Amino acid sequence: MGSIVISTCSWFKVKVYVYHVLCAKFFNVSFVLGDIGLRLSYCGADAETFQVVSAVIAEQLAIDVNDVRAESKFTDLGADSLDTVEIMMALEEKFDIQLDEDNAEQIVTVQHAADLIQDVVTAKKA
Amino acid sequence: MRRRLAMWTASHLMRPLPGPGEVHVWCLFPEDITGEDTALWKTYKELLSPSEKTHIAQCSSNPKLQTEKLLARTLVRTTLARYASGIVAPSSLRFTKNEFGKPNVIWPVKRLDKWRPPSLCFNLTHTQSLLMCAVTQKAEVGIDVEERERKFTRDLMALARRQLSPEEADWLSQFTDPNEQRCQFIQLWTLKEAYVKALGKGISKAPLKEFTFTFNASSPTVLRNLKQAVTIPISLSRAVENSDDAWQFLLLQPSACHYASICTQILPSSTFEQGSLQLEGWSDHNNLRVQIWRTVPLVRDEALEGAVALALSDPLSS
Repeated sequence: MGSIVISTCSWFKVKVYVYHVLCAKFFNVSFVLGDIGLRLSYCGADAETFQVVSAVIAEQLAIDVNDVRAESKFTDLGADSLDTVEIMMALEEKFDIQLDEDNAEQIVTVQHAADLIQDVVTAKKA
Repeated sequence: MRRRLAMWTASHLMRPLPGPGEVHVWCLFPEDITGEDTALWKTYKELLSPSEKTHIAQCSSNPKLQTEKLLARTLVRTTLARYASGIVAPSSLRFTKNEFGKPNVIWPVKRLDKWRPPSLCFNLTHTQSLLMCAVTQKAEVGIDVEERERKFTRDLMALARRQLSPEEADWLSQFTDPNEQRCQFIQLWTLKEAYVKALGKGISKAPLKEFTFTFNASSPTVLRNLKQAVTIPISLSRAVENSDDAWQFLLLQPSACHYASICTQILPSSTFEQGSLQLEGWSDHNNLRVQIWRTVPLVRDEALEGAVALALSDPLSS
């Protein structure tokens, strides 16, 4: 199962979740396409996820949570490379997920982090 | 204005270029600048470009962070301008970044009589209590500094398993004293970061787990003076793109509270100038020379007292 982000306009994301295509073997080929869920979400991650992510980041960097904005880059907030790794680990623990190293390296802003977390959490629940 | 002009053209601020195989390191300790010196702070702010000023104001309301960023830009601008024989003002430099985020300088003056802009490589690193800028001529350079007493919020071995190579993590797990383990981790980390920064191709081309630093197993003690510098073999389990480059590493304590690593490219044909060496007891082997200053930009420079070299690599191919 994967999620495909069709548009990455910062205020509006349409994510089409394509679920497993199951086909029975032999003659009885029946496609179960599953649900194609259409999810509209402003700013990708929902507000609650964003708040939790911001709180974790603020705690790790010992800064005011109000300074943590969606477009804030980790480096702007004073995070060095070690801080960034510790933040990722803290987020994994908080949300009980595993973050792929390749994905983690793509993260530049707080919004990226929240979106990635949201994707992984949602994928885990389904 | 005249005073400021005089400040940066004063002869003691104009430095000869780093020679081949030489690294100049400029250290700025924020504690050296008092809060009351408002004229100096104002001068520093005026060195910055409009976009740098905006960036600092916007990214955080935390005054300590803003100060750190201001000093970082001040340090890199004044440092590079030192090598321009008084021709270029710190405020006139422009900076770009390559696709991986590695900064590069654009000189405003392309030629003046016989003067051409020097081919400088530089790298900047900072914590709240120390900022460092390393400069070389033509040789790629990377530098990283961390506070020795840095607090970790995560379990150190979990962090090690995740970010270090398996061999390094195994080696680290041998230390039973948590303090010593933490110090060793930080030293390893600065070495790895300095290397990645010197390569300038981002983490994805040089994943931290895929290269290993090992300290000579017979010398487990952390603190050593330069005369007994330990060899750091570096092995790469996967060839990194610049596989025909040779790199050299220096691990040091610029102060009792910090660890730093410098990684520099060794260029093929080197001719050596007679240079004075600021690190006491520096031996001439390995063709790496380092000069380190403690600076208050535009005010004074002095030799950095109390810096200790911990480990030095043999020139190795990566």
